[in-house]
Amino acid sequence: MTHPIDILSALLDDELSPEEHSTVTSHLEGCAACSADLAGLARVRSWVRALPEQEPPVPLVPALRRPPRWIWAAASAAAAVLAIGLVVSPARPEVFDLDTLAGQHTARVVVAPGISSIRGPVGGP
Amino acid sequence: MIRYSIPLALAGLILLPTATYADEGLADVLESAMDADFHGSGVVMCRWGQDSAATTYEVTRSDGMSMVSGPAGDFILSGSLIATQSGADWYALEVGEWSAWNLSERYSLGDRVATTRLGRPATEVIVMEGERKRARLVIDDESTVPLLTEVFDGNGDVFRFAALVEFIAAPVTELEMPEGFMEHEMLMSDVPSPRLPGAAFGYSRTDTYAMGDTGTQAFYTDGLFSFSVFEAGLGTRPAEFDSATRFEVDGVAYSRIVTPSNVWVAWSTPDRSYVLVGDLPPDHIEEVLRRLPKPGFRGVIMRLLFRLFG
Repeated sequence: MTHPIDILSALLDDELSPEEHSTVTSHLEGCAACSADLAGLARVRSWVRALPEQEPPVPLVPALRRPPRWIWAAASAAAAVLAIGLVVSPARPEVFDLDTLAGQHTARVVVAPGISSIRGPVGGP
Repeated sequence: MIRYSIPLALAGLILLPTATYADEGLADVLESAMDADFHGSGVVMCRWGQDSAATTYEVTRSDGMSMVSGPAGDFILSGSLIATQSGADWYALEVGEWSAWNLSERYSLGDRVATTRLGRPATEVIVMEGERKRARLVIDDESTVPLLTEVFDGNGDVFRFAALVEFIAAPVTELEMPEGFMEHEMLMSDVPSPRLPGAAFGYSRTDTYAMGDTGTQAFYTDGLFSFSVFEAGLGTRPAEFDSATRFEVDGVAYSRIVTPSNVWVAWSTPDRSYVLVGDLPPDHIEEVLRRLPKPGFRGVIMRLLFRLFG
């Protein structure tokens, strides 16, 4: 078996299958180099775990995750304009009613001669 | 002498029925028809391309009042007031103000031919628009009522056909206005729309009426045909036009609905909705549309913004 260097970390994490675990431990019993690597790897891991947790610098996260400032400014302005528009915009005009328009037009047609008024307005849309 | 008497007598018999209109122009013919008393029932048909519509109607006119029964119900007309019934109630529109009537000089009377219609002596009158035959009227000689009218489109095909199939020249029916009705008076707008021209293809904008807070009705006529253009804020287009026939004038799209008496056209500019309704023929409609505000950008975002901000 070649030196199982790439799976020593998995051994420490107990992520190997029983067969792999058996094979690697058998190799370690006869290989001083791999045993030394395993010990060093365990030591480094314990050091890392022993380090105190620190918050990353505050500006770092916005710089990585936030869009540019101008986008926020534009979006804010658009939202403000939209909100103002919703508040102050005039009431939406009513939809034309075809019967009403027909009545208005017919009423005007019948007061003067024309090819429709002379035969009697049939009216209606 | 006898040799010439027979031809002269025959000529006199032929010319006699046309004598009623011999000295009249088209304006006189139209005004006479407005005043005639009669009762009749008839049919009106209209065709524009693949779109067509037809209906029957009944009309009685007596002592300056008329009653018309058609697909839109019953109308009673008296002077400048038109009343219609909805359920048990009557509603009336009264045109409070209107401008004087003028007939466009582009029309003239062509040949007049003695004929008969519904068994009655009548005169066929051709209305010319320049060199083009625009309409044919068959007018009852006794009453001056048009028994038949045909309007031709730009190709010379019949665009609208209206004919009385029953006719009584002296009706005995007495018409009366309903005793009570809700009335709305159409008054001239103080601020006519600056977007609508004062004239369009020989049609003059004679009157502009206010509709609601922001809408207007501009009435155009050339004395023979007439149309109204209704203008209001964006989004006021009637839903009926959603399934209307699309057509183009100079590459821009409009929607049209053909009814027996009128053609309806709808379109929108970036900030206004328009509906045109009138009895003018298609070639006139296209020329008129070229002179009215044209359809504009219809992007969804633009429409949304204009709807929001007016």
